Amino acid sequence: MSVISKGAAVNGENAIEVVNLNKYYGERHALCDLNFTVKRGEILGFLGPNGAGKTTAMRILTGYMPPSSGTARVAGYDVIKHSLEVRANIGYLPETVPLYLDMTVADYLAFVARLHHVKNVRNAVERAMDLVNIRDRADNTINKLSKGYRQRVGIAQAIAHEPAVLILDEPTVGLDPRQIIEVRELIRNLGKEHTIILSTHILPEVSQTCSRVLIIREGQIVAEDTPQRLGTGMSQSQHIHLQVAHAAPEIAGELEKIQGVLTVRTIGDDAYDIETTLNHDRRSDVAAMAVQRGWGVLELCHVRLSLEDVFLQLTMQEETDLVSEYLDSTEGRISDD
Amino acid sequence: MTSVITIAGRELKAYLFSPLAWIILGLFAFFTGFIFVQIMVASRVADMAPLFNWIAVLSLILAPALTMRLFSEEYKLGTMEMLLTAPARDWQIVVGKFIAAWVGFAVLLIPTLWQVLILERYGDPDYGILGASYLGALLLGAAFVGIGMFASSLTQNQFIAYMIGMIALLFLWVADAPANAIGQNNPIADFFRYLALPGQFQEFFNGVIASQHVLFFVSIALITIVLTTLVVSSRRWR
Repeated sequence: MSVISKGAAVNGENAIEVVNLNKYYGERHALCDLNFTVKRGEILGFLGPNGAGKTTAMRILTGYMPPSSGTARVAGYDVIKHSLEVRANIGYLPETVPLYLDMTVADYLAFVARLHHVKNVRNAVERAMDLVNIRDRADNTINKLSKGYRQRVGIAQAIAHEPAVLILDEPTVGLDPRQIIEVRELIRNLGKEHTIILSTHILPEVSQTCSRVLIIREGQIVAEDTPQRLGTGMSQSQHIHLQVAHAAPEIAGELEKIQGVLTVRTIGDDAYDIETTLNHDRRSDVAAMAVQRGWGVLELCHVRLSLEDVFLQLTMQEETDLVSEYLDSTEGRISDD
Repeated sequence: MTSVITIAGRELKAYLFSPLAWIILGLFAFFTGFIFVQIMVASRVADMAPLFNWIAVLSLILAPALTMRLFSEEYKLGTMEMLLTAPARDWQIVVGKFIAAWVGFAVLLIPTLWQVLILERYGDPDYGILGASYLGALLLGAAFVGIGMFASSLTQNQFIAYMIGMIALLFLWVADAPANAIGQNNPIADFFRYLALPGQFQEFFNGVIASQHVLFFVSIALITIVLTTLVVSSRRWR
């Protein structure tokens, strides 16, 4: 029995390196030339519609199945040549939480810890239960647990052997809002010690938990950035929202006279959406004019494109022009980094 | 090796808490006891050979029930993905499950030991024949359990796994039936005659341990382990 080394090969700051990864299912090209890296300690979000290839990518990274071509390294180990080492360094929560329903929580976690050759099984189990806060359910059989608790047991199972990298496939799917918040909080905490990749098709999840996002569509990365920058970097213009106390028909026309303002749209009775060029922040100009004319400013703010808008724009087939535009603009920026 | 033990340990514990496993044990104990009484009352000879023939029949029905959940349940629960991303080789998972099922099968034979005690108390049993019979039953069990496990690796539906396993065993049992139609001195017919299970286990129950029969059951067990491992690994090239 060879000893599986754990975490020894991590040199450099990248926990995961993926180069030209391809996966075919028969004729279907499920992953097309995927390239990305994840730095140690980063929380990376895989965002994409169902069937985009998120699970396929994760299954390759976990050593569940090999890629058709390309290489992937986790904690310095190649997923094909050193599959067992990769698996020893990864904690994986598949989309279907893998639970033996007739086992107790503690027994199940002990089994997983033993599978991972953990030396002090009892300590590992207790530590994992404490981290996800399920110590009080240790002796319950899993089939008696609520969905939220089962999800936590699933996460505990992934962290029992203290892996360097955590891969979570749709960790909040099917939970109620309160449980979702708890699980996100948990993931953020785990992010302090682990490198994490999580996949989701829920947008707020990414902006709330991830430090970086990959948007995947049909097996290809269509965007890669921080959630914040994806929100702004998307469009060719920016938007200012203005709400006034004394609405008047001429206001829209007046606003359009400000330099750099492209269009002004009236929203409801008393609010305006002002689209401006990217190069300057025009908020002070708008404020000055509003004060000068006595419109009575109630609200004046910079409108960020929500990640949802970006996601929809990037993943909608019809908007391919926008996508290529965006890719052109980001490719420059990413290579600058 | 630790991975194999870990897997086997979990499976055995699962049997311990499985109502189905206890039902199988109960049925096995009841029918072997029932048949034992019939045989003893009728023959009044301290001979367990007829009983062991019935044990083979019961195993044909009950061994696939013992193995049907081995992989089907893992597929259904989604736990297979967890096993296959743990640092264990595919064959270690398969061998672990095989060992657990085989031990489970051996446990089924334990209730028949009290019948040996009865024979000892009231008669003079031949322990050489009995030893060969138990060895034969265990070897037969290894082959049956292997075939059942392979069936389980093919589907996530436990009932279908059971049917595949039992029908496969039934085919092996009567494999010599077409042989006579094909004719004598025909290699294909000989092969079918060779596969027929009764011809392979009968001699054990008469007290003869012949190496070719040992080899037959051991080969089937090994072949099914290899085939099951191939099925489990097939995700890699599908």
